[in-house]
Amino acid sequence: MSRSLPALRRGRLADAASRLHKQAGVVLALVLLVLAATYASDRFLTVPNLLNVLRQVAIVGILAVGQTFAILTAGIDLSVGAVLGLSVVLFARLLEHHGLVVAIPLGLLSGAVAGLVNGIGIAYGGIPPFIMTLGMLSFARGLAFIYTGGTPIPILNEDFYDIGNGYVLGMPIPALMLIAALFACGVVLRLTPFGRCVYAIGSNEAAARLSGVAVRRYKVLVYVICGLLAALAGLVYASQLSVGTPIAGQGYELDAIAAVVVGGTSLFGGAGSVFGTFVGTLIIGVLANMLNLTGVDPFVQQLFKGALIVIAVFVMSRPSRG
Amino acid sequence: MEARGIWKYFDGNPVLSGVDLAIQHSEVHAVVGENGAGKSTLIKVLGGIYQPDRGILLIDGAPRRLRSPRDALAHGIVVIHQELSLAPHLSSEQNIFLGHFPVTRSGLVDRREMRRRTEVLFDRLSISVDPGCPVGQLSIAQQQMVEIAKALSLDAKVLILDEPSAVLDDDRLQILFGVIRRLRDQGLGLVYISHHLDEIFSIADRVTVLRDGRPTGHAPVADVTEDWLVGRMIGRDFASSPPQSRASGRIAIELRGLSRAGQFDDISFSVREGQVVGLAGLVGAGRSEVAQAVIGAVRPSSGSIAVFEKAVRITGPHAASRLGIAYVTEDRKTCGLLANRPVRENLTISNLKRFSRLCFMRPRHELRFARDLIARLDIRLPGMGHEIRKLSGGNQQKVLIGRALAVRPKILILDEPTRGVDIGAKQEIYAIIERLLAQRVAIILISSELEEILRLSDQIVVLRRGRVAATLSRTQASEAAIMRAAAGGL
Amino acid sequence: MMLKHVALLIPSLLAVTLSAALAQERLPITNKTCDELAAFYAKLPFTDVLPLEVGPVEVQGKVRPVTIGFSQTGFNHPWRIAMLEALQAEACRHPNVKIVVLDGNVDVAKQNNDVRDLLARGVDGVVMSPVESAGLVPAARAVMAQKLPLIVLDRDVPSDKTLFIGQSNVTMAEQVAERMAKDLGGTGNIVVITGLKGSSPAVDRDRGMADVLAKYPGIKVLVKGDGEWIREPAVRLMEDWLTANPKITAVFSHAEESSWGAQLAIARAGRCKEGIRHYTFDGSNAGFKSVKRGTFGADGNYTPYIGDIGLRAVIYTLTGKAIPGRANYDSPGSRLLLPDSPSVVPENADVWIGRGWGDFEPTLDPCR
Repeated sequence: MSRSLPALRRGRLADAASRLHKQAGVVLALVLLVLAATYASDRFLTVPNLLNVLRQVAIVGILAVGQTFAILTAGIDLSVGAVLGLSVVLFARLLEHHGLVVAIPLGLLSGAVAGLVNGIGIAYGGIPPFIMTLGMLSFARGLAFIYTGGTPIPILNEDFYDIGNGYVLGMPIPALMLIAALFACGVVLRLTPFGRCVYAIGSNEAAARLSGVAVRRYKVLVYVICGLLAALAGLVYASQLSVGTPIAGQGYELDAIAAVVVGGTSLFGGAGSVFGTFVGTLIIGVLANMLNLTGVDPFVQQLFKGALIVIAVFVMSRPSRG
Repeated sequence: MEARGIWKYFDGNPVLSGVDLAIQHSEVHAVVGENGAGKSTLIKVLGGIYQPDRGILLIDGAPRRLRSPRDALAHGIVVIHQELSLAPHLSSEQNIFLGHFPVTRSGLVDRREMRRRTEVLFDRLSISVDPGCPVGQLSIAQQQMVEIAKALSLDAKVLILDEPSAVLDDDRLQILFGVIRRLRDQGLGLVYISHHLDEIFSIADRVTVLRDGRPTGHAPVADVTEDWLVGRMIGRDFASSPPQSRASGRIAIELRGLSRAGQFDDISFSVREGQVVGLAGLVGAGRSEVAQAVIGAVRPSSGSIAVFEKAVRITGPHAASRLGIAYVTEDRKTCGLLANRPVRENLTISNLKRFSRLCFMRPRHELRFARDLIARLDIRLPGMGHEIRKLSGGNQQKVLIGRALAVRPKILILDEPTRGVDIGAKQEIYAIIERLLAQRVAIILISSELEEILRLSDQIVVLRRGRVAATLSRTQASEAAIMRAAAGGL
Repeated sequence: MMLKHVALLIPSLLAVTLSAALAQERLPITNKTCDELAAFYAKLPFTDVLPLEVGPVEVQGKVRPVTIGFSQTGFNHPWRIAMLEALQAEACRHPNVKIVVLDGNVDVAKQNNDVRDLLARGVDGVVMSPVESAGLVPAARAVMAQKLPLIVLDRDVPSDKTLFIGQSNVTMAEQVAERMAKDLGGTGNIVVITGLKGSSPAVDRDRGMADVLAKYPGIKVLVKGDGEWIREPAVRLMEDWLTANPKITAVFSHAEESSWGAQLAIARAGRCKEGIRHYTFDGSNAGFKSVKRGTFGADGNYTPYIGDIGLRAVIYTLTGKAIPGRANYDSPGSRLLLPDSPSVVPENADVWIGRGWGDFEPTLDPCR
C-alpha cells in the first residue's frame, strides 16, 4: 500500500521481472532435468541428439501451442489429436492425386474448419468447451476412419517426405515449424489486442464482455487457431512418417494439455504463456529422451512421466504462495 | 481470547504491525479501519488461516498456536466470512451439522435428533426458517443466520463476523443486531467488522481502530465520537464539499418507456451533459437491470434509447462503448476485475483500439496512458506489473472507473461506485465524479446509500418494483422523500 | 442462428453418407461390394479348411434367413478389418446368411455388451474375436447358455465354446527369431520394439523370441521399448537408441508399422550403411514386398484371413456337419489347429506377395 510513483516509472521493467519470476520455476525444472540427463547419458548433450529432441517434440509442441490459446480462455480443446488424425489422412489422400500446393492448404483448412465448428458451438451455442470438443474428438476420428476405411494410406511423395525429414540451416524442418508457430503465437498473445482479449476472457469473461470485448468472436478465433495448429501438427506427422493412418494422434490431446499445464498455464484461464508451453513441452520431451537413452523399461517410463507432471506443477505453484 | 503484538508480513511488507485485541465474554468488539488496513488479515490470524510471524494468541489465558481453521474451531473460535460457505443444494439442517451429524446407535444420521437440535438453535436465534429447505433457496440474510446457527452448533465461544452488513438491507440488519445482542447476553464474545460507523455505535461495546496494519485507537464505544473514529481511521481530515449547482448542457441520453418483461417496466428519464441522475430504490427494484439494458448486456423488450437526441439500437457493451457509454459494475469480483491480470491491462481492456495500430499494441503509448490515469485517479499500487487482486477494494474500484474513462465516455453509468470502499477512497471517488461533470460527462448514478445519492445527484429517479415511483429534483429530494417513494409510502 | 445451422448440418451430413452407402449396397466398414469380394475370396489362404459350396444354407432341411453376429475387438487396425473382409466374403456366397457386425472399440466392457446385444437381437450364432482373454468369459458364457454356436477367433477365452480357431504367436515368434539368429550368425546387438505393452500378442511374441534367444548367448538385447503397434512411437524410440548405441545389428519389432518407423529413424540418423536388418510380424502384402526389397529380414505371417473359417464353422454347426480336425485341448471346449504358415523371407516372398492382407504399398525405404 505504498504510494510509490517511482515504482510506476519502472513499470515495464517490473513487468518483465514479474514475468520472469513466474516462469523461473519451470525454466529451473528444465535446467535440472537437462543436468540429470547429461549425467545419466554421455550421449545426451550432443548436437544430433538435441536436434532429435526438438524434432520429436515438434508434433505435441505445435498442438500444445494451440491448446495454450484454448486454456488461456479458460476453455479446453480435447479434439486436437483427432483433428490431427483427420488432417493426416486428408494429406495422404490428397497427395495421391495432387501436388503439395493443393494438399497442404486443403489439409490445413480441414483443421481450421473443425476449429470453426468447435468455436461456433462454444461461443454461440453455449456448449461447454469440454463437451463440444469431446464431441468433435469422436466426430473427427470417425470421419478419418470412414474416409480411409481404416487402412493406412502410404505417402509416396518425396517432396512431402522432405518436409518432415529435411533440414534448413542445420535445423530439422519440423523443429523450425514449431519455433515459427511459437514465435507467431507469442507475438499474437503479447503484442496484439486479440492476445489481450484472450487473457481478459480467461481471467473474467463477464468483465471482458462488459468492457466491450467481442467475446464470442474472439472465442471462435481461438478454436480456429487451435484447429489450424492441430492440422499443422498433422502436416508434420504425415510428412515425418510418410503414412496417413486414421489412428494418428490418439491421446495426443492429453500430452498437449500436460505440456501446457507443466508450462505454468492455469487451467482456470487468464495466466500463462506460449513460452511456458514450449518449456513444458521440452521438459516432457527431454524426460522421454533421457529414459530412452538409458534404456529404462517402458512400464517404468510411465511412472516417471506421471510423477514429473505432478511434481512440476507442484514446484511451480510454490513461489506464488507469498 | 486475546491477541498480543501480532505481526504478519507478506512479501516482506508488514500487513499487521503489533496488533493487540482482547475479546471478552459477553461483549461485542468492533474492529474498524479503511480497506487495506489489515482487518481481513487479522481475522485470518484469529481464525487459524494464517499463522502470525510474531506475537501470541491467548485462549482463556493460555498461549495457543492455531495451525488451521480446524484448530480454531476446536477452541470454539468461528469466523463467518463475507462470502458464506454453505452448500447451496443441502438443507439448512444438513449444512449446520455437516461434518458432525448426530448419529443413531447403528451409525446412521439421526434425522429426528438433527431436526430437534436445529429447531433449538433457531429458537435461540429467534428466527423462523424451514430447516428442510435447501439453503440456495433462502435469502442472503437467512443464509447468514444458518451460518451463525452452524457456528453455535459447533459450540462457539468466540464468533467473528466479517462485514456481515454488506449484503443486508436495513430491516434485515436490525434482525441481525437482535441476534448479535442475544448471543452476547448468552455469554459469547463477538468480533464485528464493518465500514459503517453508525453500526458500530448501535451494536458494539468496544472498538479497535486499525490503520495500515497498526492499532491507532482502542476504547469503549460509549466514550468515543464519530469524528474521533474517522480521525483514527484515515489519519487526516476530509472535507465534504457541499454540492454546487451545475451547468446543464444538451440531453446526452434519454430512455423512453424502456421495459423488460419481469424486470422493469416503462422507465423514462433523461440525463444532460454535466449532470448526475441518481437511480434510487431498494435492492431488487430493478436499477442495475435498467443499467444493463442501457449498455446492451440484456435486451429490452420494448421502449427506446436516444443518445444526443438520436434513436440508437444498442446490441451489446461493444456497441455501447462505441456510442460513448461506459459502465462501472456493482459486482467488482464477478463482473469487473480481471483478477489475475496486471493493473495496466485492467485499465485498457475497454478500448484496445486506442492503444494499437495495424493490429499491434503500442506498449509505450499504453503505459503512458496507464501512468497518467493512475496519477490522476490517485490509484495506489506497488508496481504496474502487479495483479489487480492484490490491491485494496478502493483502489480496485478506481481502476474500474479508470477503465470506463479509457473509452472517453460521454455517458457514464456508475453502479454502486463506493460499495465496499473505505471512507478516504469514497471521498476521492466523489472528487473524480465532480471532475468528470466539469468535463461535461453525463452520469447515471446507482446507489443504495441515500446520502451519496442526495449529495451527488441533480435529479433522482426512484424505482419501486421495476417502475418509476417518483422523479425528484434536487430541491424536492430528501432521505424521507426517497424512502417514501422507494418503500411505497409509509 | 449459427447453432441452428450447425444442428441442421450434422444430421444431413450423416444422412448423405448413409444413403450413399446403401445405394451401392456396399458392406459396412470394409465398404466393399459382394462382387469385389468374390474375386478376393479366390485368393484367401484357408478356403480348403471346412470347405463350403456357394448357395443358400439349409438349416434342418429348410432354407430360412440365418443371422450371424460378429463381435470384433475393434476396427482401429487394418488387420482387424481384413479379418472382417474374409468373413463378409464368405457371407456373400450364401444369399440367406446375414452378418451383424459390432465394433468393440478395444474395450472389454463394450465388447461384453456387444455380445449381449447380439443375443438380444436373436442371432443364430456368434463369431467373436476377443479384446482380452479372461475379460470376455462372461460374454462367452452368455452365448453358450443360450445353446448357440460360439466360434472364438484369434485370441482364446478360458471358458466353454464351440470352437477356437487361432494361430500361435509364440511359435510364430520362434520362427522369426530363429531366422534372425541364423542371419546374424549367432552374434550381434539387437533392439526390440514391442507391440502395445501388456497386450497378449505382444506378450506372446516377446516370449517366443526369448525362448529362442536363450539358445544364442551371443545375441544381446540392448533395450526394449513400446511401439504401440504403430509408427510414430517407434521412430522416437529408434532415434534415441541410435544415439545411445553405436552398434546395432538388427531390430526385432512386433509390427510392420513399427519396423518401417525404425527404418525412417535409421535413414535420418544417416546410418543406412550399417545394414541394420528388421525382423517383424503382421503378414501384409506391403510387408512381404519390404521383405523382397531386403528391408525386412523376415515377416511373421500372422494372417487375419481366418474370419471366413469362423463363419463356416458356425454354418457347419447349424447344419449339423462334423468339423474335421476338431480336437480337445487344455482349455474348455475344442480347438481347430490351423497349419502353421511359414515366415515370409526373401526366398519365398514372391510366392506370398498377393496372399497377404491389405492392398496398400509399403513406405518407400528411405535408405534406398
